[in-house]
Amino acid sequence: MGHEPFDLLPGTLDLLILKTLTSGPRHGYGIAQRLREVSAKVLIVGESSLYPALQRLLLNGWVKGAWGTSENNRRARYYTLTAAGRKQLAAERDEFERLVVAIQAVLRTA
Amino acid sequence: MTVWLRRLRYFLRRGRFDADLVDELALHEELTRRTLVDRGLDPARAAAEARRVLGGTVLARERAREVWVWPWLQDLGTDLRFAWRLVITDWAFTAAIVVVLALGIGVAHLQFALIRAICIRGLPIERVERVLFLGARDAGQRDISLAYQEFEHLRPRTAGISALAAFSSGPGVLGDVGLAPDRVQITYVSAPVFGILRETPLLGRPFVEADDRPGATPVAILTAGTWRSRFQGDPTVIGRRIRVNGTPTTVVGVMRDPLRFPAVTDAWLPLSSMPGIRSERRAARVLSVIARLADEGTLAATRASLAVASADLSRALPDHQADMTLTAVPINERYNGRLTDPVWLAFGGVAIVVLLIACANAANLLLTRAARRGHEMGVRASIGASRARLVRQLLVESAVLALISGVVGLVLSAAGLAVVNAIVPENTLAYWMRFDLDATTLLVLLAVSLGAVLVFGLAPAIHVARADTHALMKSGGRAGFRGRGGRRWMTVFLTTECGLTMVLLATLALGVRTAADAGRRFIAIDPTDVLTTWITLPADRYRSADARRAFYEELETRAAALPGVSAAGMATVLPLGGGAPRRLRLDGDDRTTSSDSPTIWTVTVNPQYFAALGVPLVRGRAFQPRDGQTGTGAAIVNQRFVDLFLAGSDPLGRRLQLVDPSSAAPPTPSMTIVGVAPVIRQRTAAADADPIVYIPMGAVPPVSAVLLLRTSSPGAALVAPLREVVRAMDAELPLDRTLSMREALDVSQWNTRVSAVLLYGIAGAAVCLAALGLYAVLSYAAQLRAREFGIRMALGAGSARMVGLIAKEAAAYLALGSMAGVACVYAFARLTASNGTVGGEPQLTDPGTLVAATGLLTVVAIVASVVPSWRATGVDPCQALRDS
Repeated sequence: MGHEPFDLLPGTLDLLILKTLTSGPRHGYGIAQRLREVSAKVLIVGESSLYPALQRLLLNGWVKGAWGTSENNRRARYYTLTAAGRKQLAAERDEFERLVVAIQAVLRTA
Repeated sequence: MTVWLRRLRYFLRRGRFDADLVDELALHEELTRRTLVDRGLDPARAAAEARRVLGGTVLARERAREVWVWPWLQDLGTDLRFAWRLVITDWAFTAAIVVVLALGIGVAHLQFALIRAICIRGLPIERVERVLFLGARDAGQRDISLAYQEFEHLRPRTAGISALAAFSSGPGVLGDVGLAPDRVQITYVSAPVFGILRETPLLGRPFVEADDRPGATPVAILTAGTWRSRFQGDPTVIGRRIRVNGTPTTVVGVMRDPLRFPAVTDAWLPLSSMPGIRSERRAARVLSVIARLADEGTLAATRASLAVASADLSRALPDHQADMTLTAVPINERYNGRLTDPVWLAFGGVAIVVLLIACANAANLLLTRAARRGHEMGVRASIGASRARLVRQLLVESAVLALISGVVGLVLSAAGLAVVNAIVPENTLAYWMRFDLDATTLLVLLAVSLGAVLVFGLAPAIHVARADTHALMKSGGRAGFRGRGGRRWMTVFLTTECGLTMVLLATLALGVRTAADAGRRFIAIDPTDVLTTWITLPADRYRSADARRAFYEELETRAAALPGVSAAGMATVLPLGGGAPRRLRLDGDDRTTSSDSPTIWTVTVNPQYFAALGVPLVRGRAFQPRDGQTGTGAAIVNQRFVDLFLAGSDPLGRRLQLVDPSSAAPPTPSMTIVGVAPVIRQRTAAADADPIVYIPMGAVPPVSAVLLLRTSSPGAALVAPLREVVRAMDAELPLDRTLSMREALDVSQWNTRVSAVLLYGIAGAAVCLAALGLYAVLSYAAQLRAREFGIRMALGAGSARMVGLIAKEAAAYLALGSMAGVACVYAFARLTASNGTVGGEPQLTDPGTLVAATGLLTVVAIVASVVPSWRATGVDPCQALRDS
């Protein structure tokens, strides 16, 4: 584990967390693991970024937290996407895709 | 909004949230460790790695919390807690500063509440800005009322309005079968008046046009207050026949509280039922007019139409007063006191000055504390507190003090209002003029308290911000706060304050002396053992002057015959109760024949009036029963009248005529002066005496009169027999306001007493402020010189010497202050000097007043230096030397 965690564009962490939750409720560690796996170990999110981000999503009402039991039988908070969160995800995703297209256009031509 | 609610929920359950987060982070670490172990790492290394890779959980918690709570808000909590602790532990300081600020805030707030009631709030009418007051101005731009014909003239000619109504108030009698009659205030109104005011009745109906036609069935509408007090709130009162001024009248409505338009009305009648409205009083100027602008109407259009109507007036009405113009203003402009009047400017000015003095004193006190806390600030700064943080902490401390002071100030101001309200007699203030606290005044209080923080809290905070940490630590905290500039500023401020305080003290001393004097100047009247009561003759049975004259003559005879009564006087007003202004025409005096003839005041009295007051005439004789009857015009003038108009000649036998400026009526028949009375004040006791002409009651028997019975014993025992006498003459006549002369004078002088309370209150506050201001500066000086004192004591100086040092400082301020004070008093006296003062009244600049004021200031200075002196003698030489 030598390499530094990948620098995310600002705001993209929220988007990624929301996307991760579309496949069902997860707890914090589960979200981090999922991001790591799906991104082929490129995206490693530290807890000092992950948990504040989750709190921000809770504050905005985009996710809901519910207490359950983890695979090792510990108390764990499972996050679920809310309707508002789904809307937000769609909006942010469109926004992000436009941004990516724009960046690629610049990289190809300029 | 919901985000805000979630924040609030977080705040309320922040303990739970934090615990949850800790659990979550622990689980995260645990799972990370297990994953590493599964990958074949040694458990101990896995645990270390898990902690290292994932970073500090503390940081995560901190940042998660910041998502919910702005960090500055959290720090604010700390500052508040700290400030509160300081409030408690440094209680003596807290008390001093709270007294200072609470006095300033309390005085300012009380003044604001009064000004708001008198000048700002206005009538509680829906869309009040669309309601106009129509009136007239004479050639001298004085507001005058309208005559009925003028109202009829302008009614169809006023443009841009949806409705127009005239009204006029006067005393009346409400009688009813089986109920004692009450003297009430009746307002005669045109039918649309309630529509213009946008008021609907609580019960029954408003007036309709048909009620206001000549010959209509007499109807009345009651105020809710009259309905409750006289009819016990009985809903069946609608349709009941009562007697108003003796006329059987049907009650058709009851209006809602608190409506008593225009001021303190008890019942409304249609304008057409006003006695003489269409006959003998056509020319009398008794009507006021209000109107509501139509939706598309504008004030400018209405004014333009009134200008045209004014021009038409003299053509339409032959006997019309030529030089008059019709005017229209928004109703509140007419009914509210004008904020730009000197009296209100002065009133508001005093409030601001007192508040500023309080703030400056508080700033000085805070500086003394900052001097004491320099070391603490130095330590905080050196262990990393930013300047902004320190300044904020000091401002929070100031704000906490200001809010505490605001609460105490509110209590002071509420108490002040209670005193003022207790003095104001019932039925004196218009229904919409309430001296009370409401949401607006509370908001102003809050704004003033917090605004004060910026004024008094900023200076000490800036001092701290400017201070050099290193120097602070080295000098034990005093380096940042010394400096000649600061002390010079304090001296200038304190001298100014002493000057202003001296003016207030001199005014106070003068007030006390004048009050004591007023008793003596009043010699004319002997108010002991005089019973007064008011009688109003209803228009229906006493329409003619003869009927009223006969009634008063009979009453005089019967009342004088009561056992223990030595004289039965009667008058239209009591002493200090005012008078009717008239223009004077004195035979053989050119000054009085011009159009701008002098104004004198008239009081109508009966033959026994001066005997009842216990006042012997200076010259000539009192009235006799036949005076005033046709062909026997007689008048009595007062000494002031003689001094002004007849100095050096014999007043007796001179002839005069009077003109009523408010009516188009011709001058009165010529009257011969038969006597000269001493000066009995009719307006205020403080102002110059007015020239007065006493007219015999037989000449113009009034509708309403006050009876004055001089008795050989306290008058209370006479009330019942007197009631019997009046009932025997007319069963439907109430006695109103039956009081001893002393009580009656007190009530009539309520506005003087209110101003006295305010004056004494403000002066008292100023004295406290001056004392605390001096105290703050002296303590500050003692604080700065603690090291010097320590050395002096170490070298053997005794306590007396220490006290002497402080006293020297105090004496210097006192000398400067008194000099400034005397100068201020002279300037103030010059500013407020009125022209034509009769000599002999106490003056602001009298040696007596100045000595009294300086004496008071000296006492203040001595009191203020007690604590600092005591502190100075308590300086421990070792401690003082070690500290530095």
